[in-house]
Amino acid sequence: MSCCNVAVIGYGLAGRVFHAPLIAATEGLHLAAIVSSRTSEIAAAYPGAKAVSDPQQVFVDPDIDLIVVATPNESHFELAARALAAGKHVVIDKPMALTSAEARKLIDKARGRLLTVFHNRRWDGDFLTLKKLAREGTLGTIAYLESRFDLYRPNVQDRWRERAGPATGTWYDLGSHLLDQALQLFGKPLGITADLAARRNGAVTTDYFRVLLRYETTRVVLAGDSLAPTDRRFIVHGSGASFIKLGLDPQQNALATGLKPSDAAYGLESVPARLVLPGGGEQAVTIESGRYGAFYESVRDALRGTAPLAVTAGEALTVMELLEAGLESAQFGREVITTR
Amino acid sequence: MTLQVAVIGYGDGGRVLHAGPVARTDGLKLAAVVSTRTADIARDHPGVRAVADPAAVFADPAIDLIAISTPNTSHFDLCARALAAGKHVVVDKPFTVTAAEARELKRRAEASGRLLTVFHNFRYFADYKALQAMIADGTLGEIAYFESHFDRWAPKVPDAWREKPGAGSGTWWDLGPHLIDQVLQLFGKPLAITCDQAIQRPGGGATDFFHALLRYAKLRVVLTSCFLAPEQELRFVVHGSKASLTKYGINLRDGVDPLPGTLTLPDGTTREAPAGAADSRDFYIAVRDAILGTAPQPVKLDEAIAVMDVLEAGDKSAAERREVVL
Repeated sequence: MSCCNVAVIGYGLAGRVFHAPLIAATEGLHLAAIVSSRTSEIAAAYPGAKAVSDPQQVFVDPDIDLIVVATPNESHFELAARALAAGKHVVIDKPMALTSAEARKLIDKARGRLLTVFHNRRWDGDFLTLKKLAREGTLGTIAYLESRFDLYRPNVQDRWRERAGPATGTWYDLGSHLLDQALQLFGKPLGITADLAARRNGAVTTDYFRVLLRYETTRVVLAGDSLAPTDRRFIVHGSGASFIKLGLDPQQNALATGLKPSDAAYGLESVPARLVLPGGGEQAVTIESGRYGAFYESVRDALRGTAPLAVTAGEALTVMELLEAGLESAQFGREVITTR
Repeated sequence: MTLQVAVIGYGDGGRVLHAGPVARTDGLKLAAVVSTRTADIARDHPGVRAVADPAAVFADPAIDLIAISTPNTSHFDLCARALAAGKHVVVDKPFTVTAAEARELKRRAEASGRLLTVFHNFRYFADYKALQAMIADGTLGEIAYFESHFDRWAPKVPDAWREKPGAGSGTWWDLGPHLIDQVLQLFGKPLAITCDQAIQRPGGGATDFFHALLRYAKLRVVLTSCFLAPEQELRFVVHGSKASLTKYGINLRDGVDPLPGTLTLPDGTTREAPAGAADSRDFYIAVRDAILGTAPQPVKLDEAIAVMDVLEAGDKSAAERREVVL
């Protein structure tokens, strides 16, 4: 039984690679419309979906239940607000909005409607594995966790993510994922110290971040560097073991090359991970398969009322607050206290 | 001419890093060790005089060079007394426990005309020498990021002066000086430092974790030490315009480094990095030659003072939770 008809606004990287294929693969969700000018691409990929050029068309369409905002960050607030005003449920790609103030306003406007943010990397295979190792006690007390998202891109590209402006650059783009994961593991830190920089020739927005989250004794470093090859993903040192994982979760590449979440190869990790035990011995770790599909299954189940929503708007708001605290820390060269 | 050397202190540092290499270096003679560990000294160095009081070696006109490997808070006093007695002096790192003390010792050394230098022996280790060569010969290109680790798996807190609260204790002052000195050699003085320090092990009395970010115009340097991390893990991570280097395993031994790093080129291909080689006598060979006037002093006092300035700025940054401009 179909619970809902879904319209995706935007058919760039987020809409094309992530949202449309994941929605199409979710039993019970129907990809009914895509708002984009790329009509021929959409017709080829999703013959059953309408391609429309103006978001207004899906806001006024009474058959549409759920709107997915997968546009550049600067339009998240306006489109989500209009969708909510039209009585639609809303999924927003991360980051939720440009500012935490905008995010709070959206939460106010949601009233009774589902509002969530696509923090899909909670379902990265390596993160799921790490979470399990932490919960089961294999790692003991975690002293240090470094979570990296390095993509070697030495040349600045002309795309909105790399232009100047609020909520642009890698701290908002990739940092939002890493923050959400850290919050899932450890909750809110006591303080945040961020170093953000634009270091490539011609760079006008953040292309490097190194952010330290301070907990009582645990330290978490979130880092992304456009001048670093993808190598380390997680380095975790605990009293029980260290967990070392190289390489990025394969789901984005799998989706980009047309693999469906139902395909056997989807989400299968090819890069091995290892535990280093006290005394120096090592043990291979099998990384469980990633499953971004779980995000839309959760949205569906929440709409059906059979399960709580996996990513709450409040959690996404906390990510926004920490992104801003990071900016403030970098600007003033000091730690920003994040607990109230 | 053979220089007569006295080592003060016979803990791990005095025994392994000073007395051993001194005894093996041509032109130096280990003449005396100041320590109560007489049995250890007799076993390791038969015939070498063991004395309990440093005054005995200060007063001995036959002693040319004094190596100080004692708890950090005693460095200033012992250096000052050795210089006053007309001796050349090597002091283990950290130079002293305040930059003001370090500057005062520099004045006294210059007035005495004696050599005073600080044991920044990490300049002579294989991993650093290989790295230095790869930067100098352009293998790595322009460096955008440099990360240097001194991690240890030491989950139990030993009963040692380093692990107790006080001036110059904890890993920032113990292992930090090595990492700082290397970076100052490679990149010069940073614009600013942001340093986080923590006591992570239950029962710890002094810093056992640090994460220091040194900010340069574009370059970023991270120095870090964690006592709950495996020692064979990361040592150096360097991202340059021509290659990235990842080097595992800290190597403090003589000979060719058995774990050379891996270079990743911009096209994604990888190859083994050149391996460095080390000889633990090198620092003392350089000291000997400097005293004999045939070579410049190995670690200049201004360099050692610069390390002290960074250590103090790191403490200030950690205490005030903000970046400190240097």
